[in-house]
Amino acid sequence: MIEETSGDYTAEDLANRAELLRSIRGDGLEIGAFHSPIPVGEDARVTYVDLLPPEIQQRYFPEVPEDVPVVTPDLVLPADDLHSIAEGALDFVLASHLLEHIANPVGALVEWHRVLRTGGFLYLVLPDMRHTFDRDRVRTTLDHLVLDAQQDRAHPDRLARDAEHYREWAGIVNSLDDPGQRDFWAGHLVKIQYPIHFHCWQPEDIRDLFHEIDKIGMAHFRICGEAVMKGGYEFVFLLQKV
Amino acid sequence: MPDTVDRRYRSFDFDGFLVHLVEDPEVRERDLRENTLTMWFEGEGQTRVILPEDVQKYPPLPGQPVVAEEDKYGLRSLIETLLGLEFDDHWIHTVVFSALRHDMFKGSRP
Repeated sequence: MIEETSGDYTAEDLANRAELLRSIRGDGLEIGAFHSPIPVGEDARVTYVDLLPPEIQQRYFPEVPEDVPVVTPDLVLPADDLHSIAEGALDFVLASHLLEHIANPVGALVEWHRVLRTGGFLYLVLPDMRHTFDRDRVRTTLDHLVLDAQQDRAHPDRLARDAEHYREWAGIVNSLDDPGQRDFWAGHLVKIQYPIHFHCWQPEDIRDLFHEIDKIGMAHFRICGEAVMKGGYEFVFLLQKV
Repeated sequence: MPDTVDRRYRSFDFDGFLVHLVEDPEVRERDLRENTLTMWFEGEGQTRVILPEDVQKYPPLPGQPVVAEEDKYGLRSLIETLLGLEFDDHWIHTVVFSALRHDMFKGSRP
């Protein structure tokens, strides 16, 4: 039902990715790998984490063919609540096309910061809204992200913002112009907790976000590397916990 | 074909087939009460009552998020809601199968 406009990785993309992934060594997590795990080197021992086992993920994403191999998670945990992992335990965290699916992305970044050792790396891949089905959606502001982190998920304002994300998704991504149809489908997606892209970004938004969460003392990361891949469809940040 | 109603049937496309919902008020009331769907099968020349367990092909899996009972649908009430909102065949199919995958039909389990 949903189509993205992702192209293929070019030789330059693959070289850039390999360069960024050179820092990924030791013990760490990939969160939300599903059908496209990040190809790390032999020096990296990856524990796979996902919110749901693959057979349930297939029910959320029936568009992914059943014969496509998917990663079976070693740990079933929410991305923003890795409670069984000790503080500072990991050398790296990998998350590809995940953060946009999390209602409170700052909360997730703070949690990933917690489980990383000082000097550990976060490798983050995100879609650029200008090259996906999000292109006509409202670009998420920094204030919005900070507010999502400051308000509990049951806070009425937070609930209203999340509900608006679902309506926007139903209207724009699912192309339901009729308000009744849009609201019905948005309500249905809320009921099944469908992991929409809650937020949508461009690379500079993420740069600003890391500066802001550092400034307000929520998580301290240094940007070590960046790359734009697949003709702009996705961008990558390599960050180090400081 | 658009949703059409006569005294006996409400007819609409579902998954490429024209299906006929029985419109008799007593049958409709029972369908809504018991979360069933009573349909006229033209090829068979007979009416059949579809039960939630007849259509449920996706058993709940361990760890699958549970949809709250009040958020679940009755078979007929969902179809009527979708027709009332003038969803087309594609969307009726999409919603119904999403509801099935997420175990959202009332009465589909003992």
